[in-house]
Formats: sequence, structure tokens, C-alpha cells
Amino acid sequence: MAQYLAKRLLASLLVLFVISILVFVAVRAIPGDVCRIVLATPDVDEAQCAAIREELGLDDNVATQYVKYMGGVLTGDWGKQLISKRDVWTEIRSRIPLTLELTVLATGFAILIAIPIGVISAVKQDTPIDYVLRFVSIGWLSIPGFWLGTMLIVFPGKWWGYTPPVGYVDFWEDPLKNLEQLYLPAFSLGLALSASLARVMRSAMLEVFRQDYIRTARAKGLREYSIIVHHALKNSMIPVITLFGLQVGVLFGGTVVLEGIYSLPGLGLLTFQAVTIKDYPQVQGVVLFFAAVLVTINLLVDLSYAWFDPRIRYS
Amino acid sequence: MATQAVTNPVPVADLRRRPGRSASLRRIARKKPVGAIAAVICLLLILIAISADLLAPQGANQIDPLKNPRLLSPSLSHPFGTDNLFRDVFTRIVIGSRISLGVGFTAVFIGTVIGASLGIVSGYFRGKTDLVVSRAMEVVLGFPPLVLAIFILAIFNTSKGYSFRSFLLLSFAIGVIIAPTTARIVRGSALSIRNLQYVEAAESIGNTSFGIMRRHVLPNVVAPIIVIASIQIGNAILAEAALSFLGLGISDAYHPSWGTMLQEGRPVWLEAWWMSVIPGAAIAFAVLSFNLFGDALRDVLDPRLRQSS
Amino acid sequence: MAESDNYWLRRKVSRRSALRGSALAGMGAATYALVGCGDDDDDDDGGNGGGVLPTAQASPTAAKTPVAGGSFSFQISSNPPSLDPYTQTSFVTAYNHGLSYSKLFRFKAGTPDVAPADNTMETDLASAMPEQPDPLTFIIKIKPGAKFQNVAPVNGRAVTSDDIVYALDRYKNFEKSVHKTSLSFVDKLEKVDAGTVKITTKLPYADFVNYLGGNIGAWISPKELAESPDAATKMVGSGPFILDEFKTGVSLKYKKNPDYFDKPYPYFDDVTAFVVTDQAKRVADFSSKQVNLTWLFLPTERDQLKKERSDAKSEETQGIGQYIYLRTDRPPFNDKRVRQAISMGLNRPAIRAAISKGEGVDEQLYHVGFPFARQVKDLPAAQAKLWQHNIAEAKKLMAAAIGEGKTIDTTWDHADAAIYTQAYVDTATLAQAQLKEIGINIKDQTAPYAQYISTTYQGQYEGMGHSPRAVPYWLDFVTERFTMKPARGRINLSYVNDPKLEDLLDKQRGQFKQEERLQTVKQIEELVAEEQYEIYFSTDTRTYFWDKDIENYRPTAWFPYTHLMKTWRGKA
Repeated sequence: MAQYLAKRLLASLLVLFVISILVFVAVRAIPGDVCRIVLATPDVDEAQCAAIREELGLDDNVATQYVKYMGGVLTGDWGKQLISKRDVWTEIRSRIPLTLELTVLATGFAILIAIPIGVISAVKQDTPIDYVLRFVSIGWLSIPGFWLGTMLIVFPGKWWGYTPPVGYVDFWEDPLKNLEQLYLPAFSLGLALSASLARVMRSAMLEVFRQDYIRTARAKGLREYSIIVHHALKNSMIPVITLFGLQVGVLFGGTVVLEGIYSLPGLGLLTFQAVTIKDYPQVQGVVLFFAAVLVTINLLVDLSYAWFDPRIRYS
Repeated sequence: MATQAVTNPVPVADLRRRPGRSASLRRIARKKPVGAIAAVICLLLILIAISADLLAPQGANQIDPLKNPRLLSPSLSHPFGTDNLFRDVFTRIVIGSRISLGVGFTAVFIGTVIGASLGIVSGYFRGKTDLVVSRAMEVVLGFPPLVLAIFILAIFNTSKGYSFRSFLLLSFAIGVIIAPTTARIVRGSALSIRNLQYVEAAESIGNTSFGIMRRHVLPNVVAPIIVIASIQIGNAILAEAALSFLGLGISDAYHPSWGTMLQEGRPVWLEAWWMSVIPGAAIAFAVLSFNLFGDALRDVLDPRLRQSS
Repeated sequence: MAESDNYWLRRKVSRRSALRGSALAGMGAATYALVGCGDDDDDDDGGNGGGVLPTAQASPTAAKTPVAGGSFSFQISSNPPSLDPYTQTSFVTAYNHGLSYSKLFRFKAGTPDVAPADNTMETDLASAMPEQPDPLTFIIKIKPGAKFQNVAPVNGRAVTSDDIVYALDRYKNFEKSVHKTSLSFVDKLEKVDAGTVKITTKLPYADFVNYLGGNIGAWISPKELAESPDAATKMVGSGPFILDEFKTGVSLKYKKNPDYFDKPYPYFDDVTAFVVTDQAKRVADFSSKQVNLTWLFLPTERDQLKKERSDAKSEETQGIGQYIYLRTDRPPFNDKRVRQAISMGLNRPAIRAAISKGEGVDEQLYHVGFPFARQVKDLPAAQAKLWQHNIAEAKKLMAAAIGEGKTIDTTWDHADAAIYTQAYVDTATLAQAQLKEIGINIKDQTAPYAQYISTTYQGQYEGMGHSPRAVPYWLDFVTERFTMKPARGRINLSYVNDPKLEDLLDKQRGQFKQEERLQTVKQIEELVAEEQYEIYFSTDTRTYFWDKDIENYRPTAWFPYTHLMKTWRGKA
């Protein structure tokens, strides 16, 4: 197990290393002259540009720049934003709680919707209820989150004069207001996930129902409810977790759109704005950060299989 | 690999030796009516996209205040109404299907070719090759899919407005985020084929690896490839729509896409409900059809895949 | 016409610091074309020129007594990229600069007696309008009580002539300053004593007061802050409100500056600017009464908001117009006839109908919105007709220029809708379709905003392009559009190189006598109209909304929001 852990960890680090190189090199291919981006005015002269390039260290060769950059990243210096000169890492860190909360809430919505649907669908396999529920969840999977999110701002506003409170507040500052600001985007984000979750839940449960130990449990005369909760649910967690590992990235991607629509200052909005104004130190930082999070989650997902299914042995 | 439990080798369905194809199609249609209807709709959608220019009553960017007064609600002469720039929305939805579905299909094609090739190669060679491919896929999975596509487009898409190059680039950006899923599933299937005796036999009589992969492995993983590709079309269409909505798409006035239509119509959403509902519904309808079709196809071709996608 | 002289008259009055009053401003307002009439949605845009101000806010509300206290909020459409006035020209930043910083002079606009586009200046840090012993010398005295906010790093110290000299010098000479060319008229900056500054200009410069009272390159930001690492994220000036908290992408919160030098302002205890990038959300936020002021809505959104917030006050202002620039330095656009044909090929009313319900001032030249600016109908007939949609005439001109039956293939560069809004992109779509009818086939080239600004907007384009045009508050602004001396002007995107025009530009710059300068401006207008160096679209209407109990507020075309200090919330 320890050996496996070490190997897995090493692999993840390798993956991150490759990602960092790719991002670093790609960002340098962003079209447009950096100094014109920094100054955001047509009124530039060569001396200004030279000063800016030097300040950004763009005169070194790419390898040197990369080594310097990664040295900085490891010691907490992720560089400065091009225009506002804010610290890239501080900016990322301050936005983590919001995006984390949004993803957690979205997942919460998804689970709340998916578990009952998945379970009922599996228990009532091949009945009309099953068909309807499956159709509904495939339907949800087909609704673009950004469309839903925008409609949820526009139409309640039009019909009832209702919108979530303006000006984002932190959860710890005012939990109720915070939740009122987040539930619409979280719902828009979570709906599609709930559909995939329900599908996976259903088939995983069906799979488990066919297993010997469930038959044993049934034979022992355990109540159906107890079988579902204690045996089937826990054992169908593996595919659910796998799915979740794959979907976290999708959720992060969704925040780019929904945070923009709802003016929520999270990582998604940061990414989009940085891309829009070609603030490449920030683009680089935030993409790298997302990658680090996802690689870590994928690692944890792998390791969590052991917990949920002791039959898996690590070799 | 530790994740064996999830990516179980998939039993093989060999497409080549199935007799009476039309008869079996009828049988499937009876058994899966929803899927069959979805299949017909998908076929229709594809036909619409291909012959969009013939079907559309007007030009995509035909600005004609007389024929198309501003913001007419849906009627017989304008089934989907008109937009704020004196254009027929039905026309734009029909022509918009070319980019929305076209990018969706091209992206899935690119993603499937990349993913399936890598999956077969890594499943066949195992060992070091497998390790490298798996790590490469992990690199891709390390990016949030939409963020990766945004990143690729922001850097490499220098086309202003629609061009064939940007069409391919957008498809590629979406294809890349699709590829790892395909690779993972195809790899599983390829692994199980690899262990079969006739592959070993083919090897022992001196066939090249490439030959074996082409003649023996590929035909046997066609079913999962088709299934996974059909399931991914919906996602690819959604990704294109989201990117277009964000303004990173490739459409212009003459080459509309549904996602762009949603974004461009936003100033008048309050005034004209059909400007918000119709492009969104078009996306949802197309995605739903392809999802239902893919779902049914999976049940028919490869029921075991249900778990892993 | 009396209206032609108004601007100058008011300038004069203001400079003498005498006779300020609503009567004159009212005249100015009357000549400023505000379009659309009150609450009805009719398509009559007969408000053009000479119309009386339609809305009730126009009448002075001097009778009411100010109430101090309370809070106030408004929305801005994007996050200020940087708060450093020395390295920024962003208008979003300018809104905010006005709350925390002061300048020597400031716009009078923002209160009910001044029309939105009236660029009259009043004193800010300066105690009076400058004394001018000779045409090149300006002597300015600072108000005796002027001091910075009582916040680190300045901690309430006095504003002295050193600060003025430092700031203006930094705008002019700091390596990363983006205001160097604009301030090139300044020759020497000298401290006379702690409260007096002497500025010498290189040439007689009639826009001296207007430039230094404007929203770019004029804010007095102290050395202590300007050279600190916080320059981009903090503001500490001598303005009416202290920046309390800047949450990136969320809000800028201000509290009252209790030591503000210009008593009795400000009235509000705190002011918040919310960053709301999504237009639909901005509408929704005001509908649900979450902000007190919101602005720049097109007629569609205006009508929606009027329905939902029938209690709110509102005023329509003339929106920002757009213009086409094209390569006048090479074929085919070096031929005046082609440019004239383009102007006649545009169906401006149709564009207005699509975008702003037909509302807007259809025909204006480069001086959008100024009270004195002539509209096209006041030009000589030979030029005025160039604004009329006339395909037959346009085709004739095209045939004469490039040959019968020939067409032009060209490109049209513009930015995407992210910053300039969808109406901007829609204008291009419509115009391109219209020009096809006269034989100009255009390939539309949309670029992301940042790319557009750093390439096309620097003059790197082939055929045509279009941009919004700001409302300039100093007249000499036209020079930047049309000069080639000594180099291409900052926004001379059309590559105009016309010695006759240059002479006129040089001439007006030094004309301190208003009537004379106006004659030159008229000549410039006619020359530019004839040549169609830039091809102008109509302006649309943009509406501001604010709560009913907000008093002494009025929209203004100028970006700084200093005037919010004069606003208060009446007890409803």
C-alpha cells in the first residue's frame, strides 16, 4: 500500500510538471504585444515597451524564465497581474472559498436530486416510473447550464421583481445572504451533474443487487430499506466517486460561465477575465492551480476506492 | 492498474458476423421505441445540417426590414419569429445547426480518433506504452474541460470571424477534452482482446503489431467506440454552445451558431421571449435526441458500458 | 443662432466666477438634444435640436434643503483593472477616481441645473479660474483649506503646489504614463509658493482648463501613494469620499471624508460601487431595488425598467455614437467619392430602429453632444445630403470612382461585444449588409476586445473598422483624430493627412476668443463632412435611473462621479 501510494504520488507530480510546462509555453504564444496589453492605450513608445518587457523578465530565454517562474511558484511567488499588479497567488487564494462553496453546493443539489431518482429507478427497474425518471434525467443532462442560469436571472426579475442580493458577501460574514446569492448558480451548475449521477447510481445499484452478498442479506430476511441503505448504497459508491472525480473538472468549467453571469468573484470569473484581458501571469496561475486541484482529486479518488471496496488490492 | 475494478474489460460484441441486419433493426426498434424515435430525429437533424442552405427560407444574414420586421413573435410566415436585426430566426436556427452540430460531430470525430488510437495502442502494448499514454491522458484530465478549451482558443484562435481553420481549431479544442474518456474505455476493451488466444496466434505467425491492431483488435472494439462516440456528441454540442455563449466561438453574422444566437439576443430577451427560448430549446432538443439515441445504442450494443460512462 | 454661442458664453461666465446660475445652464440644456419624450414610447424622435428638456428633473430643485447621512449605491459594468491614474485611461476607473481624488478643476455637470453633456468647468482644488498674464502663462492658486484624506500614507496633510507640480509632471514624464502626448502642450511646471503654481504652455492652448478638469491625466494623486506598490489597488486623494474597501470584481466601498475641503459636501455617509458585468443582472438589480442608481440602458431595457420601477426617476441622455474609420491613405478609400458613397449607402434610421427603437440623434459630426455642435441638417446642403440614405446616388459615386459595375472587396475589423456591448456589434452587422447593396463586399472580422485594442485600434488594419466615440470634453480632442503632425495622432485611425485640415486644427487650438474659435470649428466640421474621413453613425439614447428620494442628482456624460458629493437622500 505504501509503495503504491508513493508510486501514485510520484506519477501525479510528474503529470503536474508536464502540465506546468505546457501552460507556461502556451501562454507565451498568446498573440498581441504584451506592452500594449499592459498600457491599454494606443499611445505607446518603444522605451516604455522595453521597460515593461524587462520588468516582466521577458528578455530571458524561455527555459530560464520557466525555472525562475517555477521557483517562484514553489515559494509562494506566483508573479503579479499585468495591469493591476495584484499578487497572482493572493488573488487566487482569496477566490477559493467562493468557488469551493459553489461546487460543493452544486454537488449537494446534484446528490439530493440524484440519490432518490437513482434508487427508485433501480428498485423499480423497467417499470414506467423507471422510464420516466430516466427520461427526465437525460433531459436535464441536455439543458445548457448557462442558459438555465441566465433565464433564472432574467425571468424571475421580470415576473416577480426578484433577484438574489447584489454584491457578494462571504459565507462567514452573512451566511443567509451568501446562500441566497449562490443557490441559483449552484442549481444551474448541479442539475446536469445530478442527471449523470442518477444514471450511474441506478446502474451501480442494479449491479450490486445482483451480487451474492445482497442475496445473502435478502435471504437473511433483512428489510429492503436496510439492504438499500447499508449494503447497496455503500457499495455503489465506487462508480459514483469515479464519476465525481471526472465531473469536478466539469463543475469548475461551469463556474467560468455561471460566475460571470451572476457576478460572483470566484476562480471561474478570474479565469475568464484574465483570458479576456490577456493577463497572462494570471491565466497561467489560475490554470495551473486548477490543474493542481484536479490532479490531487484524481489521486484521492483512486485512493478512496480502497476505503469503499476492500476487495481492491493494490499491487 | 489499481482502477481495474472500474474499467473492467468489456465483453466484445463483434459487429461483423451479425446476420439479417434490417431484421434486427426492426426488432431493436420494437424493443427500444424511444431510442428508435431519437435515432430518426438525430438523422433528421443531421440531414437538416447538411442541407441547411436548401432548407432555410432565407439567407443567414438576410437583413430585410420589409420582409422581417423587427422582433415579430412566432407566426406562420416566421415560425420562430424575427430577431432585432430584421432576420428570420427559423432561418438562423436551421443554418446555425451547421456550426452547432458540425462542430459537435467534428469534435467527436477528432476526439474519438485520438482517444481510440491511444486506447488501442496502450491496451495492446501494455507496459511502458500504457503508462505513458495513461499519464498523457491524466495531463489532459488535469484541466477543467471548459477551461482547457478556453485556454486553447484564447491562445491559438487568431481568426477574426468564421474560417475553416477556426472551425477545425474549435473542434480540436473540444475533441481534446473528449479523448481521455474514449481512450479509457477503448483501452479496457483492447486489453481483454489482447489476452485472447487468436491474438497470440497472430503474433506467433509473425504479423506486425500494426497489422494485428488493425485486423484483430480494432474490429473488436468498434462497438464500444461507436457507443461512446454517440454519447459524447451531446456533450460536444453543449461545449460548443457554452464557448460560443462566452464569445469564444467561431460564428459571425453569416455563420450563426445556437450558443452565439443566445448571447447575441440577450439585449432583447425581456422584450422577445422567443429570442431566449428558441436557441436554448434547439440546443437542448438536439442534445436530448443524441443522448437518448446514444443511451439506446449502448443498451443494444454494449450493455456493460452503462456503468463506466 | 444663439445656441452656437452658448457654450462659449457659459465658459466665459464660469471663468469670471460670476453669474453662475440655472438660467444660462438651462439654455445650454435646451440646445442639447435629448431625445425621447418622457414616458411614452412613440417613435417620434422630434426632440432633435431646439427641443425643450422633457423630464421634470430639469427644473432646478434649489428649494429643497440637503439632508446629510445615509448610504448610496450604483453599478459599474466592469472591474477597474487598476486604480493608478498615471497609467490608466479606463473610464470605469475614472468613475471611481472622481470619488476619492480631486483635480484643479471639475465638471459642473451632475446636478439638475446642468445638462448632461455640458462641459462647463468649476473650480476644484483651484481657488479660482487661472489668471493669464499672457497667452502662454497660467497662474493657479490652491484653495487654502485643501488637504488630503486622513488616511495613511498622507494622513491628512495639506495639498500644496508641490503636489500639483509632482502630479502633472508625472503625467507628462513618468516612463509608464499613458498621458504623455495629451499633456504635451505643457512646457514648464513651477511652484511659485506653497499655494500657487505657474504653468507655462508651449503654445497658446485654449483648452487648458477643460483638459485639467477632465477625467484623464489630471487627478492629483500624492507621491507617497503613486510610488508605492499599492498604487494600482488603493486611492488616497483629497476627494469627498475615502475608499474603504476594494473587493476585486465585487465592489468599491467608500465612506464620507469628514475633512473634505469643499464644505458642506459630501452628504452621504457611505457610497458603494458594485461591479456587475452582466447587463441582465444590472437591470434585475435595479428592478429589485438593490441599487440606487444605474445607467446607460437602451430603450428596450429602459421600457422594462420603467414598468418595473415606475416609482424611480429617470432621464434619457444622448448615447455614445459610433463611427467607421477607413484607410484613407490607400485605394480604394483614398477616393473621396467612395467614402461619400459609403455614407449614403448607410441606412441610419434602419440601424436606429433595430437597436434603439428608432430613437437617437440621427446625424451628428464628431462633436457628439456638445451644445454648440452643429447637426448635419445645419450643414450646407451639399454636405448634409451625404447623410441621407440614397442608394442610387451612392452607386453613381461608386461607378465614377471605381468604374461601372465594379465592386470593392474589403475587411471590417471590430471588437467583440464583451466590452463595447452587443449594440456595437449589431451596428456592424447591419451596416455591412447595407453596404453590400452599393457594391462593397465586406468580410467581417471580430476580435476579442484585448486583441482589438492592441492591434486594430493602434492602426493595424487593412480596410475598414468601427469604434464607439467618446464625448470629448476638450475641443482640441479633434487633433488626435486627424493629425499627422508630428506623427499620426493617437486615434487618427483613418490615416488622415490633410494639410488644410492641419492648418485649421493649429488655428483653433490657440483661439481664446470663443467666437473666433467657433468659426474655425465650423470650417473643420464642413471639411470633415465633405471628405467623410470618418463616417458617423447615429447616436442612440441611454437612460439613467435613480431612486425617487435621491435629490440633487442628474446624469452626466462625463465619467468622474465627484458630483455625487452634492447628492443627498431626502426623507421620503
